[in-house]
Amino acid sequence: MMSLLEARKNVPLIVKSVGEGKRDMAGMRGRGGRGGRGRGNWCRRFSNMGIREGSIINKVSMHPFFGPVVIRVGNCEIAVGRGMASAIIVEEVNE
Amino acid sequence: MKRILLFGNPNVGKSAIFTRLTGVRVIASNYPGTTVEYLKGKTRIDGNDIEVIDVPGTYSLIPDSPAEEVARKFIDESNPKETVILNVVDSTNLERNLNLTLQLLSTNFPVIVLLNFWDETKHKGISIDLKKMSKLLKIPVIPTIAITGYGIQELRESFSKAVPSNLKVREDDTWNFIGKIIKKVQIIEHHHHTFLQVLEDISNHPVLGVVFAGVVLFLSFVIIRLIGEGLIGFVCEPIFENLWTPVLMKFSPVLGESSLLHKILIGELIGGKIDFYQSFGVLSTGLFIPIGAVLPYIISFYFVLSILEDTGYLPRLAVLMDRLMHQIGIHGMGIVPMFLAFGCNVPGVLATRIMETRRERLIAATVMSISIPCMAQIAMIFGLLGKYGVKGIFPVFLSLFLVWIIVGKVMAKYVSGESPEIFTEIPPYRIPYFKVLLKKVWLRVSWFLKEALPFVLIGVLIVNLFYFFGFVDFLGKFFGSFLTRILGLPPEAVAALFIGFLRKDVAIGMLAPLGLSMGQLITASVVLTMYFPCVATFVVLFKELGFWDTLKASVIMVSSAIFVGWILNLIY
Repeated sequence: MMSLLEARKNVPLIVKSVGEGKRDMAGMRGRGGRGGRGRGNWCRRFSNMGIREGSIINKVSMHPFFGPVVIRVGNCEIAVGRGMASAIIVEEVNE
Repeated sequence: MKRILLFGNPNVGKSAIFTRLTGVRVIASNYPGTTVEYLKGKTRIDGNDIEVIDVPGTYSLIPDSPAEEVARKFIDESNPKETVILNVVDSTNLERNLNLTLQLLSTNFPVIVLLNFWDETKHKGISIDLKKMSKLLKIPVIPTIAITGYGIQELRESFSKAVPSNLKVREDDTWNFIGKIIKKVQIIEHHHHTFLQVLEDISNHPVLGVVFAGVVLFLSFVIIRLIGEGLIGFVCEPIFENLWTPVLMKFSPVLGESSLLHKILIGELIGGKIDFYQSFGVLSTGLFIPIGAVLPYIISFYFVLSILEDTGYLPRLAVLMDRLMHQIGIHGMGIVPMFLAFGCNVPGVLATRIMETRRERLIAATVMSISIPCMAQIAMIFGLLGKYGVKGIFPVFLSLFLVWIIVGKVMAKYVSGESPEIFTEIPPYRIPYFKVLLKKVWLRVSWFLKEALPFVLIGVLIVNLFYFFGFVDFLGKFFGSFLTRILGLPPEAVAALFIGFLRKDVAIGMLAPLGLSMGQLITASVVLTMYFPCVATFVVLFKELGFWDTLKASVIMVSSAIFVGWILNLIY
């Protein structure tokens, strides 16, 4: 198990959990901003976009200098900030 | 039935369906959040007039952004007995879209599902069993291609069949249930990467993506400039010089060169001739500014912007720009309102609603109205400073960019509130339909003609009255010494600051007869961009930000404009 930040690119990943673990709230906070939005809020937005426990995702790219992570869920590409990405815990799918 | 509500996730084509149903042209683009406010139109079904509402895109009925709050409001305020919900669904992303569908079904409204982008399912190797899906959801399901009109007739005929679904799914069981539906109705075959998908991969790449962005932005600029200058040089100026000048010259002796009416309508004759930049009559410069100098750039800018919008490039640029945008306390999607602002600040300020928090919207709107000149103003800056080439134009945009980043950075430090990270869907690249694209350009150009042309004429008229009644001299005496000392501009330039509130292109135009040096023109162009928004922008700022935040924004504008003008004056 690892966070989306550490995951390899272009291999199928299964989402183990979203927004849990040691970095839970801190990870959800916007960089450069103050305060954070509630965890439930982000979890719901993730879920609305199809990122939740058990879904299969793919890491497409990670932009340098703390830029966003681009992932593919189903037929859709989604850009996620790194704080949020660190709160998505994944595992490589064994085929 | 009295009302149709168009509901769906962002960027599924609701606005295109709306246009198909109502014939009302609205802007539809390929990025999530094109529609931030609802739009109303009318359609006729079975001989009855029915109100159609294009609701901003939403992922769920529990709102997370102002645009989604607007969506929620319509569910609460509509009468289920007189309303049908059209749930527009991206058929290439069935699973994610069905979440909202199930939420809509749990309300008491009759729902019809439209599987939009039906043509794309074939390219992507997706097949969907429509009958089974309709049976499982217990509502009509219609495949559509909004942009070509496919499926709209079938939709029109099926309103009578719309009844509330008695399907009830427990909230915690939603995704499970969706999974079951997908298994039953959708088959995905493997398919090879298309050319567009290869381009998608390139523009997502951290290094190649930056190169690609550089090429796209450079080409955009070159094309805007080429089309703009081409139209001015080969179409507009010849028309004005060869057709309009003779008419005005015939008219001139009739009025008598020194009469007031001549001054107002035709303006000063420069060396016995009309100079469309300097004469400053309502019928000479007044018509030339909007039609001869600005319109060509409006056309070329919106042509290029529409291509960027409809291909789906903007959200990708947003991802690349995310780090830069966080420097000023907003995330990457903030690039979208900034781009729109180059056309006109009004839609730019409205588009800040795609940002989630108040802090982001205040920063984005303020920074934009300070440092982004609209295309009308840019065209006039090109017109005046163009003869000096890069040496004249570059300092203006460099100063404005520095202002953008410095004001943004300072605001990011001191404005309280949250700046969430980027979290956005990136739509696939799509090849724009040329006809649809041209219609969109025309829609925006016609807005410019309707909204701007009268204001420019009134502006030029006021300028003449200002001069005639000695108001310019009065202003010059009153503020002149201040202006000369701090900004190095002649006292007459004060009047431009007043007119700038009405129309910035006219204000820049007023500098033409003053015989300013290049340095003075650069200073004046920058100060006129920054010091205050034009009245149209001011009104939307007020509406979007409220009294206090508008006041804050205004103080920042005036003070930074004076400061930057002073520095430029020291340099030149």
